[in-house]
Amino acid sequence: MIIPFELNGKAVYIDSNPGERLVHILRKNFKLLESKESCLTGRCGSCMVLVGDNPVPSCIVPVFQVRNMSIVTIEGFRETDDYDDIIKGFAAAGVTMCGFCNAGKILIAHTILTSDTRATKDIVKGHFSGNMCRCTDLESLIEGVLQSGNIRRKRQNVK
Amino acid sequence: MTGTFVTDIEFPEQNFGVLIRSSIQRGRLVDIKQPVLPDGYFMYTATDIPGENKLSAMGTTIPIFAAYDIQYFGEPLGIIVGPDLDIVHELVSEVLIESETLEPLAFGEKFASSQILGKRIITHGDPEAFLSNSSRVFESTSDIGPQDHHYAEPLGTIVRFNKEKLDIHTATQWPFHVRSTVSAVLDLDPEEITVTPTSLGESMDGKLWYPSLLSAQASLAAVLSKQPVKLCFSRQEDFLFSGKSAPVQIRYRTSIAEDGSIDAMSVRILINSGSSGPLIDEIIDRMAVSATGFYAIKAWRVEVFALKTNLPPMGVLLGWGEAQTFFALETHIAQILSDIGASPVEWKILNLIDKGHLTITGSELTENLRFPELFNIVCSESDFPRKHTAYELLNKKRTGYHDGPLRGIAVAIGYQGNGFLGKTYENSAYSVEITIETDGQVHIKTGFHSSAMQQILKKITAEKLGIEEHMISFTGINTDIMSSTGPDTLSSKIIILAPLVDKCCSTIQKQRFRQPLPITVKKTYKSPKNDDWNATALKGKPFISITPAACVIELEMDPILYNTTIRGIWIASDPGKIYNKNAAATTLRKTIPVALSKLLAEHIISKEGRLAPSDSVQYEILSPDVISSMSVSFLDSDETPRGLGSIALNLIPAAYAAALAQITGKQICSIPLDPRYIYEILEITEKSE
Amino acid sequence: MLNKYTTIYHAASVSEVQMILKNITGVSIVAGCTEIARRQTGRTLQLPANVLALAQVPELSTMSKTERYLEFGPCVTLGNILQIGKKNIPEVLYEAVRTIGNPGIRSIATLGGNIAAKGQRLSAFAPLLALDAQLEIRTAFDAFWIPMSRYFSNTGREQHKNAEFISRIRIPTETWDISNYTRISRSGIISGTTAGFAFLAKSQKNILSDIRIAYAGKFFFRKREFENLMIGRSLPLSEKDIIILMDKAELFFDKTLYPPSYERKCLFNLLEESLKMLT
Repeated sequence: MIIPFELNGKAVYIDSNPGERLVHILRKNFKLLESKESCLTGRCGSCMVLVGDNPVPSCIVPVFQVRNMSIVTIEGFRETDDYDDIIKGFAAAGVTMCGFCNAGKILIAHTILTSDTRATKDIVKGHFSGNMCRCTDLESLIEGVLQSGNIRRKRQNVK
Repeated sequence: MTGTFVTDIEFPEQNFGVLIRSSIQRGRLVDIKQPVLPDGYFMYTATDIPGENKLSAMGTTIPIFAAYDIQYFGEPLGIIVGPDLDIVHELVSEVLIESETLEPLAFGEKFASSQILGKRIITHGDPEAFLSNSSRVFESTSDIGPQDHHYAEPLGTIVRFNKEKLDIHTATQWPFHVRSTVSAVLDLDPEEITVTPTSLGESMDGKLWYPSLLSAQASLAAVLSKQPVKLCFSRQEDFLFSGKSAPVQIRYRTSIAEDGSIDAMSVRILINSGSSGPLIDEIIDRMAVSATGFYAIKAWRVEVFALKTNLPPMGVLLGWGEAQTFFALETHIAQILSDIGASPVEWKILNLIDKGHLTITGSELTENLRFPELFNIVCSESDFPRKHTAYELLNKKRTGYHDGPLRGIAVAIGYQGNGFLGKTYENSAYSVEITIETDGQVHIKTGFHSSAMQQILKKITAEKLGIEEHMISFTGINTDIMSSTGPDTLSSKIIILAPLVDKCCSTIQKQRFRQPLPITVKKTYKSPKNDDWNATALKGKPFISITPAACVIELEMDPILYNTTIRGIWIASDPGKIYNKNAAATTLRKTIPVALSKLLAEHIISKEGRLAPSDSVQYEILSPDVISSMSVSFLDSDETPRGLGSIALNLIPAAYAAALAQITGKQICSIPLDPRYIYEILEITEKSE
Repeated sequence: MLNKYTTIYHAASVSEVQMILKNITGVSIVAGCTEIARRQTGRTLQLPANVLALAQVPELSTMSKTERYLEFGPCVTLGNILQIGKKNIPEVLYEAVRTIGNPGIRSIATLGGNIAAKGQRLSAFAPLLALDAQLEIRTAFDAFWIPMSRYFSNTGREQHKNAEFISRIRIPTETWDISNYTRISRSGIISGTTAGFAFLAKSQKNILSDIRIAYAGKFFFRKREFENLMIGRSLPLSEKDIIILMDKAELFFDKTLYPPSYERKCLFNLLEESLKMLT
């Protein structure tokens, strides 16, 4: 089946089994390896992508669903200043990252900060229910997001 | 910040491998009929193995491919490889396996002697005399089920073979074991094999030996087909067939003297090792030596049996069995103290051994355990004494479970044993080599590569040498270059590696302003003389060090849905000298949700030898955001650093269960602990009342 | 090969959906596909032979509010529902949706999919049942409204739904004095014990004017006859009233249909706790 969609700002299409998981297509067809295949249930966050502005676990999306949609992977997001804010914020908070679920942590952080750079700890915590990271603790992650918020506000000159 | 993961690696013209698995739990293989294979697709079985059809680890062997005896459902019988993974899967489903079925071996109190894979007995005095004559004998049996490691990346390996070398990439805690296994299976010189460990993430001790098995299977196919082979498990395959933490049944019988001290304790531990347990010797030893904790006991008998059954080979999980023994022990003690009306903290302080006293293995305790200080911290932070008394009173006086609030608080103690002087360390060497270059860059060469550990080592090096962390990098990326090492287990990282780096840096500091650069210093860890430890008799000092800890948990139970809410978790430990307080706190904090998940959510059942999540298609894991309040504290110390990675798992289940027991009035004897289980306990209690 | 013959039909409008239903037999309707994904662990998701994808039909993703009703299209995502805010949708529905999955899953899971899931009833079912939600059902040829309680049956025989789809979900906008949702079992994952309980009550001049009690899990119930026992009573209820009502509840929940179990016990506990809110 031919499925056209937008990927990291470019119009693309694939000819695929419609039931293939989107994460598998991203990795196999487009060599975008930073979305990982792990739980295959949408709960760990390792496969997170942005569909529109929403973080979506790509492991539970059959590829036919992304027809004519806009997908941004962590590789695409990396090109933005927003990405740098988050990396710096995480580093400042001492967040340990082996790299496997970076897509989840970073895109979830981005979603929070897009909505509110001054998000409370509880709001941040609730968002990370979709990220099962074994390498770091939630407190450090929350602190990382808060730090990222500070950095973003400074960059955007927002008081 | 991030490394390479095995699932991301691809080689040109690689084949994909899928294992052919048995469809019976126990029996004998009669025949495997190969399907018609298209060009470029190959199938290999045990008959194709040129060397030894076995993986050896710590004295235990398991077959690479079952040749005759089938020992568990899903046991690998062979492998099919080819360029299209979907086609390979189809071909595997077309393989015809002819087998004779045998009755599976049972796990329980009644077992055949032929099922015993290992046995340990430690005795002192005549506990039966006390138990027979005492009017205060307490008995309990705990059941702890298997649990999955559920690391982020499922198991996988990728192998290519050129004329000179076999090149293996896999996420493993023991790259040199991969090399030695493949060498034996393929009858190759170890120098002809290079193992490059890929990013491991948090493996929870689930990638100690299994990657060696996968690598041997893939290597066989790569060598014979003359093409690279990638063999990666899906999450489902990893869940169904990789080793789990061994299920155990632990029975305690304890007699208490009039003054409240322990006269005698009899412990019987049955471990379900599955078809084999490559680490079973160490698991049995460690469960035996931890069975009585640090309690002062006049007479004891500890029996541990590892039993063979027809499940996949069982293993360890964030520790080597102490978590299970501490759960059973501490919940047993908590129930005793509740029945005799003793205050937990006061009683424990009076009845713990300390420096200078003899342990269960007959050695003198050389460390000051500092439990009074640990109790002081957790009790003052949690207000334990007042709350415990208040909840005890409230729970005894209430008229029913709707006469709330229903709260409980409990304290548990235990330790993490570091550097167990068993076969693992006996045969393992660890070394670190540090080079400071002319431009000031520092390269650390070690066998370990976990990102958390690298952060700690960088910090140590930066502080000692007075340089910026960005000047430090890690080399030694594969077995050709890295120093030969034993397994990368929890405790080995901090108790062995960190001091080695410290020593290297000290030597460099002495030399760097007197000698020209570059300077290279190598330090090797020498396993302490085993004069201190008799592994056969289980006598002496079994660990290089121990990390004592105390934990308080406060709960509130909802009598409507039988849910529990954690009102607070307080953990205090003595990990020796701390290089990086933030990293130490993170280590503890990140393992607390893991421990709670194992206790409350992760439930595997076995039906006719097939593992499955208990209640859903999905294996339930607790989300970390359910925990609201936790406090971790460390005692100040200049002692040699000690590990922290299994403290949470060793203590939290026990403290949680004891707090719940205060609410329900019944000892909690089972893991996992879900609301349905609590409902059943309360129903039984209400009916009996 | 898996899904070798799967045909996906993408509709752009409701009329197109109806046309496809008319022309293609045995078509399976999907929205977010999270329910399909939830039940499968394989590398590739196995799909039915003919799939009609609704997620990109604009008319089915609308939300509107009037004085009397709140309406959702079936393809409104659960994330979008939460974004409207607690003040703008019934509290029981908001609280139920909040317990579903995680933010990522809620970005694609839809309200219609949650209602229509086969097997056990999912989290939005109990609140919608309690709120007397109505579902507009469209077939290839017509459209009609049914109450939530008629969408599934409890007798184990589910109505054949292949040739129809939910096109609107209409919720009466009412104000409730007590509005309570409880999820049985942990948030974020569906297990055999997962169920929802919704309790609504309002009074006028200390008379209980309306009460709604709904439960949905492996089985579901909403018993108007049981609710009618309470409507018109003076508030606060007494302890004796509660005991009598709980005794009567035993009769309504036949043990053959709802056997003694953890689930039944939770249901009765919730019922009692809810009634105590009226004391």
